[in-house]
Amino acid sequence: MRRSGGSSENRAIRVEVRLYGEAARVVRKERFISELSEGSIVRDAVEDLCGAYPAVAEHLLTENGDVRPAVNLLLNGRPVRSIAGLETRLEDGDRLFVLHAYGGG
Amino acid sequence: MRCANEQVVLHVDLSYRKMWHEIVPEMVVRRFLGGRGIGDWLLWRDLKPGVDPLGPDNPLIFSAGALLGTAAPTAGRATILCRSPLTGFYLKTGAGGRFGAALRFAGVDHIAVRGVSEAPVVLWIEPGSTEIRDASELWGAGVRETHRRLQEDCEDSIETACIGPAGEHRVRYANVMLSVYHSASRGGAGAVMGSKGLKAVVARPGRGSIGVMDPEGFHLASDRARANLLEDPMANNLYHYGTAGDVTVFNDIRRLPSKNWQVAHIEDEEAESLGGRSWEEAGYLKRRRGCSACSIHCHRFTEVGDGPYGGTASGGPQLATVTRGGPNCGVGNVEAVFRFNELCNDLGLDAISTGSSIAWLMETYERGLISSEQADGIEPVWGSEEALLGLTGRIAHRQGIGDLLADETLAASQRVGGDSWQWAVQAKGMSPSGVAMQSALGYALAFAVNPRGPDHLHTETIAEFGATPQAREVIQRITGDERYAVSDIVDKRGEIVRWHEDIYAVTDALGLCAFTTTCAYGIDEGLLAKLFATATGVPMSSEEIMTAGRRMMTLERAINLREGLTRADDTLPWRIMNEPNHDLTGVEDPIVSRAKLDRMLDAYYDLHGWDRERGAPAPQTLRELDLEFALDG
Repeated sequence: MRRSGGSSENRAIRVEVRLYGEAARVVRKERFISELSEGSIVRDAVEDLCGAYPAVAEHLLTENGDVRPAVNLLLNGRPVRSIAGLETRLEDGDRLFVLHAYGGG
Repeated sequence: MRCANEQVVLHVDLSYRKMWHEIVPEMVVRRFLGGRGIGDWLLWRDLKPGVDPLGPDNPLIFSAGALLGTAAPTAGRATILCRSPLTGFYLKTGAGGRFGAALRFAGVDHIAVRGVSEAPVVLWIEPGSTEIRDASELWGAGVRETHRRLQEDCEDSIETACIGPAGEHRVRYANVMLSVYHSASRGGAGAVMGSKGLKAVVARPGRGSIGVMDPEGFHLASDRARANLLEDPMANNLYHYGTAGDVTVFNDIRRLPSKNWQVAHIEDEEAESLGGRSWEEAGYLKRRRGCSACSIHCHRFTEVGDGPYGGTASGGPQLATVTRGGPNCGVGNVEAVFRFNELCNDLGLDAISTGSSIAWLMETYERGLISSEQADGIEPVWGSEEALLGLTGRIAHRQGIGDLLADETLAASQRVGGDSWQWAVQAKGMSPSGVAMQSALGYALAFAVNPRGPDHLHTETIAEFGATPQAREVIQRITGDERYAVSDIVDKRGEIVRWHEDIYAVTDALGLCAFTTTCAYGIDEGLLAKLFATATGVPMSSEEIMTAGRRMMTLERAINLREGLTRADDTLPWRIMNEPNHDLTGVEDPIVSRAKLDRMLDAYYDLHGWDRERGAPAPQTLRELDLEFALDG
């Protein structure tokens, strides 16, 4: 089964991708709904986003397709680094946050 | 020209109206550096255990950092120390602005005030002269008016550290405002100042300046630090959006403690307007300000144009003010929060304790333990802007219900009774900063062991989020593996907290902004040592300077043990440890359990060389840190 999004009839889960800062500026929106088939992983959602908005790819990914070090991907608030990275499996209703440095004081 | 290696203490006895100077011995400078470090040394020496924090024997110490007056980037921080009237323990509180540098230009590095003046006074310091002046006509004035009227007395520009009505009324979390808009917020230093009848300290810098011993080496190190900060994503974030920039992010990921810590988010639209990213476009942001020598410029000046809050204008607000006065009280109108910020700044109140005390009252009202009549006719319901702002004014003047709230949540809950202590979200008698500790265990541990109480401005472990490459590199250096740059695991939190304690203490002692070393990570141990050594001529390695930081933390611990601190005081608010917050998403364990905290405490005490029973430094630990003088308590 193809895991990436698009108009496939296999789509079974919806993931809300929230964008901040540079990514939001490039995409000109702060929310993107990624519709993916069951078993999809974080990499699929990121590729789905970059497929829909090619200009954002250079801000998020290196030439090798890895996530840039300055980009944080949080799945439901947890860094995907601490789960299984881009291989982290997605569930229906998940929220994926794409942001650069964040914090406060 | 004075040189950065000189450290002069001005002693002031307000009871006897006597003043004298003391030169800090070079060995003490070598071991405690300056600022908070020298302040710790003075406090240990001059504070007798058990004295009334609001009595004449509690020394009130103002300390300028060792690099203030130089061009070291962000060298603008001054520290105030005393025994806290809020916690009964050690207190250091600090702020930026230009007061600290002006104090050094005026010829003084530290001020140690004791005694009580019969009538209100101002301490006026300028090159070659110090004077105690009558301030009877200033008593009762707000911070802005106080500064304005003092400035009218002088042709040159002056800098002030002053209290508002809250300090005069001894609100136990009254702050001291530096340079009008910079708050030395926490723990009630303003109440101590008020108890002494000291309305303000004025520093008239004149043509004073501070020289450095190795100008070429110093400027190389400063340039390196500035270049690092320029590249650091967090420093850029702070410049563009301020400390409150990421309210939207915290809200979206459900990490925004709200409604007295019962939930972790508010409405999206409210969070959007409360967050600093939106202020420029909305027209609120009037200018970005830097403290002395700052290269980050996180400080804001905001203004509301028209409407019910039209004319509101003040410095800030900072993140803590936004979250404690806003979401924690259920208030989502950013203009009301701007007004809350203005009131806290002008009345001289710590916004964290003020907002937290009001949130506690709102929950107490909701649960039926207090009536509207008891609240002076105010209906303290979630989201009530009238309640937020009306209660803030009452607290500052200890009017009616404000008197109950002026002692903070623990004391208020003891007076109201019932179960209200359970939602008094505090530890050591102090309300915490708005960090979701359940999902940030480094912060949780740091809050629990913080000698002044549970907040972020003594030990900020922001690297544990791993949100920038620089932060992950720091975690790699501390723990040997950047995979520990994850905030919701127990492992290695002791190491992470201890390293941040050490570097934060050094940063305070040098008078640099903590955003350079523990938020942005642009200045490391090596650069700190280089800056200090080239400025003062005192040889210093990166290991030695971090040991100086450890020395400060250990002496602060010793001060607290002398005041009766036990391991039981190293704790977190009951609600955080016992009430699962299911609004926090992506968190496996929505509380910080006793067992989890104990595990972290044991590891932390062991790392420090403190015993597990009390967290008391072992004699060997004290000797290794050249703290033999603290052996006998």
